[in-house]
Amino acid sequence: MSDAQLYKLPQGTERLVLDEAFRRQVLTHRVQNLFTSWGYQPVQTPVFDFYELYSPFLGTKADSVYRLVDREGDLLVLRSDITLFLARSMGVVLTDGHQPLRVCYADTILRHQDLEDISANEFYQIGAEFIGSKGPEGDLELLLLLDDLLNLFGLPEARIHLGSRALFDAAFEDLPLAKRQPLLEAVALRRWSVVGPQSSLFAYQGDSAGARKLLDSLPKLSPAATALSDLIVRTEALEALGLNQRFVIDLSEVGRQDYYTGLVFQVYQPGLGDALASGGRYDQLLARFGLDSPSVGFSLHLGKVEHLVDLGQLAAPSAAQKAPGATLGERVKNARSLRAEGRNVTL
Amino acid sequence: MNTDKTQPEPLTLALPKGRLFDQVQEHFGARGLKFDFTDRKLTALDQTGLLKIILVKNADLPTYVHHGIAGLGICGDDVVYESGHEFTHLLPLAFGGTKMALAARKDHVRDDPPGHLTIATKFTKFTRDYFHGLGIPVKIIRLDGSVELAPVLGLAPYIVDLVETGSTLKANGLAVLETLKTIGVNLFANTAYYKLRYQEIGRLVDTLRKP
Repeated sequence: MSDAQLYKLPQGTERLVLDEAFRRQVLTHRVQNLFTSWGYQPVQTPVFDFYELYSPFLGTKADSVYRLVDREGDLLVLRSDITLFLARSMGVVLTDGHQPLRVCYADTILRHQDLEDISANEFYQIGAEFIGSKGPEGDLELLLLLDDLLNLFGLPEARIHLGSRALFDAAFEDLPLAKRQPLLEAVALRRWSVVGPQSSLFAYQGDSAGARKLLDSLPKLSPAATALSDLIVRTEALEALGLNQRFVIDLSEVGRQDYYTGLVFQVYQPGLGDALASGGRYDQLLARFGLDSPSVGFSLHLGKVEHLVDLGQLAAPSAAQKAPGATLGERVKNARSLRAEGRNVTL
Repeated sequence: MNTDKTQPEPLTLALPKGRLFDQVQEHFGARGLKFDFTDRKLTALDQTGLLKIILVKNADLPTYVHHGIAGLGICGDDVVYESGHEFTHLLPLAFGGTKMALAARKDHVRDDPPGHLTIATKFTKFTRDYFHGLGIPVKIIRLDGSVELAPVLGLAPYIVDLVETGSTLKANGLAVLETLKTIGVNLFANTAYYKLRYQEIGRLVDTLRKP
């Protein structure tokens, strides 16, 4: 092996060692405790799977996934999006009898990142999903869980922007799917000259009261009015809980992944150049993997917030003290009693 | 997030060094946003304290905005396109517009061998995407400046470059074969930054939109 190989790191890999790795472990543990306390059960998805199953969902991300060929000659894909791998796993494992089901995960993902994006920290996702939930209760539960998660991280300034893919689909229902994709991007990037007359609708950002006024301008009982009304009802429920600061209606949130069907949202934190978490409702995704069940979920890139979280007084293993005592026997005995007090001790 | 009660942090804006800078400075100044860079400094506040301005190299500007180091940026479509990044679109600006053009020697005869066109350019991503979009295979030679030399010296028969007046082309015996795209100058934002400060940014856009 040459020195050059020794120092070269492949794009899309992450190494955490010592204190950094310890922080990740502590944080993951706290997140999992929170998920457990909300009744969410852990799942682990495989590291690779057959590429063909996922290729229809990868869209523009297709060129960033890692593919490989197995011994039988099948094309495989490394886990690049846990939502997709989870949908597939649930399709294999679950039957209607299991539902509703609340699941959560914390896992690495593998995708190529450009040289410039190497600091994007998108290697480790945590998330939760409520399978078999229809209607506002499921949406609200996920949003409230996400709010709790942001509180756990100590991020009072983080904002959850709520939008609706159903509203977008209703507004452009006359267009064939191929023509909707560029419009979806245009709305998300607020390119109003491309979006056209619907711009004033999708440009809206604000609270539920303002959105109600906007609703009056839509034809009653039209699919667009229904979709917007659904979003308003959810936001009003959150506002009634005193969460006005956390949640913002933002109709330019339309969900960039093809599988979204209803509520969509993203979390923004001052100082971060990109969304910290994203999610929404995908009522048809699981059916594509053999389980016809509505679902709502979110995922969060833990690496993006790790440096922002104050973990408080942590007994880090690097700060362990040496056990007192002249002989090994004494040191083992002292170490035991000190550890029982919660201290970190080396022999 | 800043509320109205506290003094808001200034909005951060990246501006490109070079040809666009003077025009931006004049446009902003005429709307009450005056700023100056003294003592070779690369950051400055405008007189109202609304904007913190960062001077960066044109081609690096999208990188700074993409990472949220600067929340806002102004540069040409060509630079944003080459970066491959996506931003929230805020306002097209009326100055600095130019054209992306395909050019060759004035006496060039189009008898390209079937297979591909050889093009020298600084805008490799744009050139590849444009011609592949038309179903025309291209071989691209990347150059960083003085692209006009390539056809003159025989490196490549064609170039793709920005053309303002065409005087540089003319001086080198070249001519525009085709205008490929009109290039405008835009104010844009890092998407996450926009989401968190959309009210202040909206007010800035209104100020800049004034005739």
